[in-house]
Amino acid sequence: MTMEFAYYPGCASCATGLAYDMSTRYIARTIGLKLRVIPDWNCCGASAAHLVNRDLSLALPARSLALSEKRLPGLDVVASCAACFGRLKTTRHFARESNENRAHLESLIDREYRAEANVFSLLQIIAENDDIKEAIQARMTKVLSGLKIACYYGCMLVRPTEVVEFDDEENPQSMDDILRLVGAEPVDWAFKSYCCGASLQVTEPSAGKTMVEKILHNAQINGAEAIATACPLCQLNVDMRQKEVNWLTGSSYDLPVYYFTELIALCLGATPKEIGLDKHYNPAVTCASSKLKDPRVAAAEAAAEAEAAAAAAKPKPRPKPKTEDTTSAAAAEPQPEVVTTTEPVAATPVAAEPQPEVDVAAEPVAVTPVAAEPQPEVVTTTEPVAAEPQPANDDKVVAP
Amino acid sequence: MDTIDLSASRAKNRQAIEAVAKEARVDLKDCYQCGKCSAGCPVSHAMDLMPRELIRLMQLNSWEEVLEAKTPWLCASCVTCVTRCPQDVDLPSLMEEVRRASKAAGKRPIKEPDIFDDLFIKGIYQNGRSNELYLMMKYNLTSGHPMQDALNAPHLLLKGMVGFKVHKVKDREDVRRIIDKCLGGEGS
Repeated sequence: MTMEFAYYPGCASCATGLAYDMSTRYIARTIGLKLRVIPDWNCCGASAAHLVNRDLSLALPARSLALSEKRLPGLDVVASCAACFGRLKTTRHFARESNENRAHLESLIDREYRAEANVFSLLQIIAENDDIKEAIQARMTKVLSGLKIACYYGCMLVRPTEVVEFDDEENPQSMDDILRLVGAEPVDWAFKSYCCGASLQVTEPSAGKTMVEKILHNAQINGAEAIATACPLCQLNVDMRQKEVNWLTGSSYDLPVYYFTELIALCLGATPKEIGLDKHYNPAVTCASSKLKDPRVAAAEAAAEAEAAAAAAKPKPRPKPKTEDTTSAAAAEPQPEVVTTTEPVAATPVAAEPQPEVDVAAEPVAVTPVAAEPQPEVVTTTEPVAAEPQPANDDKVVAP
Repeated sequence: MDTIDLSASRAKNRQAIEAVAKEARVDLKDCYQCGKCSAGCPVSHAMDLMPRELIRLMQLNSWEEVLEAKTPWLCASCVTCVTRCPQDVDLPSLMEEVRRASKAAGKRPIKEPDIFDDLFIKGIYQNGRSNELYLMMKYNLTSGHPMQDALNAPHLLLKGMVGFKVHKVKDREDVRRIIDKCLGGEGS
């Protein structure tokens, strides 16, 4: 599968979405994903264009797509911003509905536009392109050990299905799967694709804040430590408005809001500053950084945890009542010698050592860590991983 | 008691309503008022008419109330409604067309979204791309909310997330021509 795309950065990429762009480019550089910026791309029109004029909402993206076709022939287009992706894909979809539509667009932009190159979101190409996923896994130096994350998709990545042709409208899973690959623990929650309000946060702040509050609330009650997004406006809204929500409602939400690309980049070895992690409103550096671990350490810890959990789950053996056979318990210790005669004392009969009736969980069992859980196929370095006893389900463990 | 000639006024409305529905590619008869759109709408808490009610009023030829409603101006185009609609009624498109009709009829129950979107297009007209700092500054000055997000602005500036430097498209004339063509020469 291809590792080269035409890249549509979008207006937010050099502004409020700066961290998204920085982390995206870091990933691309590190794994050899070629993102070729469309020369002289223009604004896609976002939500403003389609609210003002339908033709405008299609013509603005069409210009960029036509330029891409001409100057970057044969390359599919990828947009990181969800809104840009939605607008570009809608335009392509419209153009492909009929020749009249396509001709209409061409007349508006005064350029040829064949609508052949496909349009993807950044989340989509990472989720669906096995080469990209493998390249990320090959170059991961850290994992996000057990970061409980609520994957927040927003509207435009997954709706409407017939246009975006990606994931699920109500319960998408692609970001969850990607973040699971880097060691995080996505939580199941109900507001995955609930609207963040977009520009309503500016035009109708009171309405907008209610929407952000619902997202934060549901993420929190489902155990999330942080939220991951794939859209600059979603990120800005849930991040920047969090404090305002706290002021207004007396709540105390404290959920860092990451771009999913920031989390991947951290696992690829990026420093927070390199990927704009220090630019968030709600401090985001500590939460993710504290979860970063060497994959082998993380695997060992996870295995030890699993071992302890399995042991704790074992039914405790019933303790024997003390009034019963005392010799078996006493026999464990040497009997005190009672000298009554000058005859040599017979060796105290030592009963066969009784089966230890100790609760297994009480004593720590020191065993070599066994990968009891299916571990992600992480290859960290080229040196062979220390040999571990293969568990029964070793089909899940990748041979070094 | 006054008499109101419902039939005549409703007949007049019918034409306007049908025209708007046609632009949106919606057949109003498709909606059987199940309410899933309104239940799923994330902005419904702020709306005066529920999405379901809006389409009901259009079915009943009640145009004035629809044109004066805040609902189409609050619609965030999140597409949740049509995702859940069992009849695939393209409510987001209908909301857009009603909003445009409302503006054309000189009604603007909420001015902020209108101001914002117009400024957005003006920004693109000027530079080919949107500059968030200038957009926000202009919006604050023209919307009557001069101090909005004033507390958030320093962070954006200090972190280099918004700046005074404007990223421009080289062939700005090309973009302007497209905007003029689509908006019928209104442009900036």
